[in-house]
Amino acid sequence: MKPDQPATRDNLLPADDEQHEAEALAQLTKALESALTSRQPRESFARELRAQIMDEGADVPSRLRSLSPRLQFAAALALAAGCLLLMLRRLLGGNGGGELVEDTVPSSA
Amino acid sequence: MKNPFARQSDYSALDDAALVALAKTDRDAFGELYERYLSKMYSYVYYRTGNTHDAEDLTAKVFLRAFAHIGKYVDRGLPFQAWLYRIAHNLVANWHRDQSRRKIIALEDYLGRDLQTEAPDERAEARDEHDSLLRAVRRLPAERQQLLILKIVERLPNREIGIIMGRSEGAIKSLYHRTLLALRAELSAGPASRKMNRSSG
Repeated sequence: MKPDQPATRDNLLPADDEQHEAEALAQLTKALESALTSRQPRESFARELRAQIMDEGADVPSRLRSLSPRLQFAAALALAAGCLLLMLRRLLGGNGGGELVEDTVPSSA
Repeated sequence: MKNPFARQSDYSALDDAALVALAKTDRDAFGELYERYLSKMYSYVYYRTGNTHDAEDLTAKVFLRAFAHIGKYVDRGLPFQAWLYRIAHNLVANWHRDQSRRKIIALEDYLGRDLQTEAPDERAEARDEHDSLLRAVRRLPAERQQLLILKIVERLPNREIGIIMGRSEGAIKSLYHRTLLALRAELSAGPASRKMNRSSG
């Protein structure tokens, strides 16, 4: 509506419509904001997917790096124990104490 | 002595560009990007698919694909998340294509399976309004759904949405306005009139 025009029903209507539409859209935006909220994935899913990505084609050092310090220590200990066992077997000689053990599951009746 | 297995710490202090550069050779840097964008990608895919199962499946694909291709990623000054959203968008588009080939699930059943049951303690009336709004959103064309998720859920500015969707800031502003008008029209038209509109062509 122009400022010099008298306020009649006809020239007030478009402004009313615009205001009404703006209010309706603001209300709709508000409803959308309460309906569309951020979703969080399940913790177990997030953990497993991370592990899957981190393990994909990973070499041994990077797999070890991704372990916790306690597990790193345990891995190092297991490695040292394995090396020690191999050394002992060589030092003691023979076939390393290994005896031929028959298969516990027969191949046929 | 320096621990050779020590974690490279404090990736959180780095910005995305620095992390992306590191992530080409350092998977822990990618791990930090994963932490930053997991919820965003999940939310996006969830609202585009409408159920947790497919949202998890596609979110996993987004990150596995991003991880597989991060070595070829070229930084052109665009936000890293724009790249992730494009991967997600393409995967969702493929998913919808596959779904339409397999079978058409009634939207009501579809919502009933997941979106509806996740708010059991809400009042029935409020839940009905909420569900009808979500159903109306899901009836919009894909790009309008994408716009609403980026704007309402992720609260991204129009400029960034424009980068993700390959449009100008002005075009996004105008598309958003048209989307709201279409959504209002969709909501004011009841199921009966929609049925009539569909059957008439």
